[in-house]
Amino acid sequence: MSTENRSQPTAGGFRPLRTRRQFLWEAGAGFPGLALTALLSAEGFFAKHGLFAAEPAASRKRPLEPRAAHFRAPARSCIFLYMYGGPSQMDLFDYKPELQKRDGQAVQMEIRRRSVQPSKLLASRRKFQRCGQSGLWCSDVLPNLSRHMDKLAVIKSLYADSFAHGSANLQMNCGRLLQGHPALGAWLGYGLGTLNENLPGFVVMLDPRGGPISGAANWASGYMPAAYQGTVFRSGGDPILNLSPSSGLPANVQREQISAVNALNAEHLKTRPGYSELDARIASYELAFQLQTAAPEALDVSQECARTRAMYGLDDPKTDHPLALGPSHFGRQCLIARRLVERGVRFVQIYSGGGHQQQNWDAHFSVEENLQIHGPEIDKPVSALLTDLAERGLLDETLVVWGGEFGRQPVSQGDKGGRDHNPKGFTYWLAGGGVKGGTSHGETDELGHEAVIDRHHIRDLHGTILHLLGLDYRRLTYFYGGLDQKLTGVEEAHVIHEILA
Amino acid sequence: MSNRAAPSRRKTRRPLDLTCILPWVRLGSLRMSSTRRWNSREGVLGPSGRRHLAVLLGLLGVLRQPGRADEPREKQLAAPAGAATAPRDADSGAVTPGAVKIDAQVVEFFETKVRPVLAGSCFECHGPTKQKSGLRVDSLQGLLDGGELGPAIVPGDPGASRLILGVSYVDSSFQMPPRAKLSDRQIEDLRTWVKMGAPWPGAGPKGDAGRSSAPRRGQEITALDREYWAFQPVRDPPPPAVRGADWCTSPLDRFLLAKLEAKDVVPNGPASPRELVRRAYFDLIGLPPPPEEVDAFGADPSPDAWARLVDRLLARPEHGERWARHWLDVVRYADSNGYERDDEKPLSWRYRDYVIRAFNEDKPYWRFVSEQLAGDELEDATAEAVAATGYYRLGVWDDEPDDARMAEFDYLDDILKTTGSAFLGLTVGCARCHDHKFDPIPQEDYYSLLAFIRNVSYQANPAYDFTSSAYSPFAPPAEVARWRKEDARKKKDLEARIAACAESNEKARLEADLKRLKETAPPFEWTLAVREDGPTAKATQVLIRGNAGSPGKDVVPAFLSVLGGERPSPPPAAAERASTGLRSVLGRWIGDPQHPLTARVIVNRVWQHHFGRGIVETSGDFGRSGFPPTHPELLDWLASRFIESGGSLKQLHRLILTSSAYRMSSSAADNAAALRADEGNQLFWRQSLHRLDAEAIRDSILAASGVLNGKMGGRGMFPRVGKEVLAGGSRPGLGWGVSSEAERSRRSIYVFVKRTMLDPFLEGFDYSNTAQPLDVRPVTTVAPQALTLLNSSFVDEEARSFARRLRREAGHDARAQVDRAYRLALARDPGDEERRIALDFLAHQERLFRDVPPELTFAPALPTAVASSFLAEHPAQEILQGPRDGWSYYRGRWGDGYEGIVFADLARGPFALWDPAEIVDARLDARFRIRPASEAAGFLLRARASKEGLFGYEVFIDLRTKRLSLRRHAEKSFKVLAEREAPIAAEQPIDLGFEARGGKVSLWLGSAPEPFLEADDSAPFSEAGRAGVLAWGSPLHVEDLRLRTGDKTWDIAGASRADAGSPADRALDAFARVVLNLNEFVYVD
Repeated sequence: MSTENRSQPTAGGFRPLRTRRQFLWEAGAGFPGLALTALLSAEGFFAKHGLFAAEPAASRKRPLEPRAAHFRAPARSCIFLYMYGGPSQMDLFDYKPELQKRDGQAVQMEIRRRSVQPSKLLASRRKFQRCGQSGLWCSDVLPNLSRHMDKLAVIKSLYADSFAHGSANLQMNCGRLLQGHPALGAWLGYGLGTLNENLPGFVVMLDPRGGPISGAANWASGYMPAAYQGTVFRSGGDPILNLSPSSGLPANVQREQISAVNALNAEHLKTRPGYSELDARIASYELAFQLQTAAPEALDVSQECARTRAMYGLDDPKTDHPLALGPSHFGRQCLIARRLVERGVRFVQIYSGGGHQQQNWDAHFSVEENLQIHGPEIDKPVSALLTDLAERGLLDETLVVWGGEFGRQPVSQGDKGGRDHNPKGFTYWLAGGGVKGGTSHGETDELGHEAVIDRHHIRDLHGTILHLLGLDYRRLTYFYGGLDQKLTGVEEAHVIHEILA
Repeated sequence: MSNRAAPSRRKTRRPLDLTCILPWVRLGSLRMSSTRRWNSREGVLGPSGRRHLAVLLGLLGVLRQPGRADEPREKQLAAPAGAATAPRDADSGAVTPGAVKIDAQVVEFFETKVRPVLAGSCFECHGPTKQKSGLRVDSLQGLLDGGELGPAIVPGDPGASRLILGVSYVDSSFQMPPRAKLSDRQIEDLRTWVKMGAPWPGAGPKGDAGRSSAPRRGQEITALDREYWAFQPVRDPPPPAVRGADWCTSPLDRFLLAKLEAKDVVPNGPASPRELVRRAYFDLIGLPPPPEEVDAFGADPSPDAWARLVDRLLARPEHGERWARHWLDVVRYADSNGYERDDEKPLSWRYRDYVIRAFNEDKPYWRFVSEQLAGDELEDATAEAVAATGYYRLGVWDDEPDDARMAEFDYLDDILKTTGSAFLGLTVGCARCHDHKFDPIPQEDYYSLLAFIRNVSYQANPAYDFTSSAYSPFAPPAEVARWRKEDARKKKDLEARIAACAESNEKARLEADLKRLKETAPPFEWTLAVREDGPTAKATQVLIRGNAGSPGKDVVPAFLSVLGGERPSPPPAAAERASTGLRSVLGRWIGDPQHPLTARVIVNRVWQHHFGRGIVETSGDFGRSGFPPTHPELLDWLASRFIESGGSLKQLHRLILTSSAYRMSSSAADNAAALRADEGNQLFWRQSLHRLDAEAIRDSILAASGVLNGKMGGRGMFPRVGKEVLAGGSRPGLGWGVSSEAERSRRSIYVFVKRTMLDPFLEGFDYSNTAQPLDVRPVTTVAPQALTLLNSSFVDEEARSFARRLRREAGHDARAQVDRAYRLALARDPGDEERRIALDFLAHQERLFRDVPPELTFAPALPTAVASSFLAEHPAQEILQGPRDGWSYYRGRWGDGYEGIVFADLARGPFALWDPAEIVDARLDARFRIRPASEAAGFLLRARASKEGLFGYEVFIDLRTKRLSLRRHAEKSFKVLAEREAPIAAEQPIDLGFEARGGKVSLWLGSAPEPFLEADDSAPFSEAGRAGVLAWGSPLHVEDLRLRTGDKTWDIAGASRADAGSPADRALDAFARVVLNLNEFVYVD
């Protein structure tokens, strides 16, 4: 049993990281024997009841049990930086000289589904330059990130199926425009299991200004068991719902209560041998107890040195825009994301932007104002994340994904230079494990309205992410509703091989 | 599973037309991306499209005519002369295909501008190797024949040619080629070519005669399909002979026993009386038995004691609540629409209450089916029957669909899919875009079924009036019709009298009467219900690939082909009818006792909830991709009895529960032979030990603590939801509400089901999917469930109630308390060892609590950003929750709204004032502890609340910056009098002294004698005020709080915490929580 468990975390090139839990496994005590006994004896309580001395637990059905990948892949974790609202590609990475030339010209363009409207082109007010050896374009919205372009594979030709946030968010996260399907993180948990049972395998961190439209459906497990759904982590303090007692009990008092539950459950188990469910439930209390220490530890950024904290912008002031947060919030979340993947969390998704309109990247009112709010919030943090992961040798095994639910239109909306939604052509970038850095793939038309060269539906992006994590999107299926369901749906998807290292 | 394999149904390839395409086959296999890579290495700049063309032309030159690519580009791009000379069809303006005169120029144009584009961009998917959507474009014939979407070109008419529509990317749902848009030049060339009449050199003249009528291969229903077990009529097999007949108390047992005997397996013996009572209670009413009931049953020796118990439970109103919830899963019930706004569906609960009543009244199942599908169309329709049609309105509904045309069909699909799965156990929805891959359901069948509901109004109009698309009067339609007729008559009558009236006063009086009549609301309550767009059925077409933009063949309402495919004649037109009547035809077909699936499916669902697994394990899929029945004869026998009973579910329950099989023990340990032979219990040699579902766990906690509120029906209630969960919404809290404690103590079926924010307690215990039919809930065991039962405020509150009940019912003797706890929660006495553990625990906890001083806890209940409407529903003491007696709560200031969201102003956030004393010069001493997620805390002196904020002095502790400041609040503004950084650690007790004396404000920290901060306020408040507390982010725990003025001292904490109880009481609270966490509490044997 211990052999089986020791071998799990090394699959997929994972450098073993000794958690307390693993230590217990490796000590050969079996689970939950040692952990509980240690905990009980630490309390000097129940020792006389002589519990859990006997046999180790039988095989149990754990939904997050580690599973072998379909093939060896460089990435074992993924950090998805979700620019909620839809960032403006033609102001960030997708430089369009033709658009710059034709600022203000009248054009006809499909702005919402089958609604072609006369509009005026809006050139980017940002300065672009070619960066690094690869010469990839990046605008001055993200001066820090522009120094990392050689690490990125920028896909400029994605398209999706919805002009509306609600369904577009669902499609980007769950592959479908309709509610009720599992999110990417749930698929990864289902396909690969967890690397660290003391922490959730799928962590979501939200913007303090609110969640994204469609809310929790964006990190749902859909028709899969709830065990695969995303766990929302608060970035400070008590990170998980109900992690500590609502009444504020001191730890020793509560520990004893858990011990009593376990002791009485053990009595019950004696009369019902052979039921692995009951065993598993006893184990879940042990895990809950572990989680109470593991989760706050993972979030404790005070353990990081001053240089690291500064690099992520944790000490930076916010700009004076009333809706802006400055980099410290997203920076803290990026730093926590690094700590989480370091500890074996499979999938971390961080939302930049929350709520509505200018509170996120949804730049209807004014794209300039929007970028002034959100650009500085992510620039330093994302850049620091890439530096930090690289310095720690984690970038090779961590896939970083950046993008939103769609992009924006090259034409002006409103009288302050806003841009409307645009699912017909937008940009994502990937970096890290298995990604060919310094790549630009695909193109939108000369105005940036629509993907025209090497177009990829976002199911290709999903297929590629799964591929980079060692899963074949065609084989990763879950039988439900009479069908072998796939993240990429029934339509054919293609791995974007051009961006693979 | 082997039976999941799709039968091989390969498309028949059309014969290859090889006359002219051979060179192009090779070219077609060259991928666009490779040519592009070549191009970009060359670094050619300029508009991408041109580059493309050049490259293609270059390639072409290499392959076809060396040297051509060197010619000036302008010449190549020039449109050919003679393009407009093709003969045209007089009526349509279309050109007769192949009739264009093909001269050298046309050939050149075609070979340089058209064929390369088709070959390079289209052949890959629509060529000799693949024919996506059934389309080939490597010959003129292929283009003319077209594919599933119809002909690809109409020669001479680019506007009507799908090829041109696709390549010009005007419709974002149909764009070709999908990976890269062609260049404008290329598109223009194709357009020109079609306009020219689509000359294809070498194709020869072809008229309509050459046009094959593109065979659309419909799925053939084979004899094998028809012979599938689930499509056979229900049989009534005799119970088989068995050796151990004395084990059997019901013929049902013999079906199981026969299979067990065949494997030499002996079924388990009977469960203990206590186990039986508990099992029956949870299975039939979803609540734990009172211990007295267990005692009484154990002491009743009469042979019919069990049957009487079952009858009693079936007669309880809670039975309907229990079983309605199972049905609500199957029809994906919710109280909100889902998607972006996730608005409430008002009156959805009438449907939920209808289902509860239907089960309680034991409504014949056939009637239950037909009322949901067409209650409004039934001749004897009641108000209830109309509410039943809320069935059509339960699903997710997108009020801002990306594609409105598709959204209507998504909506109808959702209904059809649910109907197929809920009533028929068929995955009909799979045939929306193509023939079903496993079952004999051709796509045409799907649309023929859809035709029955095609007239259902799509646009949800929430108005409560007679034109509403989603609401109807909650009254018998006949009564409504009578009233409306009478109402119209009265109005007409009055109008006539007005017209005829000459006398002005009388006329005015009549006009006033008419006005009043028109303004009077109809005397009906309303219900969510189906509505149709009039009595005339809309035409229904097969949608090619499920695409609403690609209607195909017309279909008429028809039942599934594999079940005969009858096309029922539509009901005769009736002038006064509001609907087509087609739904009642569908309802009669599905609700026919002789339907091979309906009875089997429901009988299997009932079995599933009594044995933990259906006879068909996939209870919503009786097709080939589901599991076959483990006991087909038993399934049919049960269905026969069910049909015989007239569709009585209560009789079915009785039949199952009075069997020996149901009453078996669930032990897996006492029957080694059976365990060896059938570890997975496929043969039902034992009952199933299973975890309670989410609702039963929550309801059991309320029942044990003695606070369960049995009120039935009405709008859903809102449990308190943690701020972490609220924060996940884009407008946090929007659409959630605040319910009273009594409301919150109602059964879980009455919890408001908000699709984008499910109650986290229920969700955590696998409450699961509300978007799609859910036949079997998964059971997971994960750590967050343990955290919920250990730490959530719901369990905390209920554990205290449970402990209060124990003290009330068992007094203060620990042993009696433990025994009572076991009896109430587990319906048994504790064993000796258990009692010993429990008593040890109580003693030990009591000792620990002696060292843990009781604390005042101030717990903020909302996230920092929240929907303003949700905030408005909160009384201040629900925003900051803390001790009640002697404290008043204020919501504080909330920042400017943005898009309906407001933000807590942390510096003047929600606060609480202690009422008993008003002071001027005073000192407040506090010992407090903050939590890691705390954001702000504060203590107030000389404070007064105002509508917009507060007045008074404060020591404000900003826990994000770890800065302390002394402040003077003056309603909307505050002034920082002094500020300083301080080392403050979470979970560490902090001592603080805070004094206001005249304008001098001082703060002491820890035991240091010198003030940590001091300030002289130049404009001091002189009025008296109160002392208070502020907290945000996480609970603030205050262990000691004293207020001194002159020689008077108030021990505020001491006075306010009487309800925390003695150490012994607190130990019992803890034990009560332990009991609610036990495996045995959430598992049924």
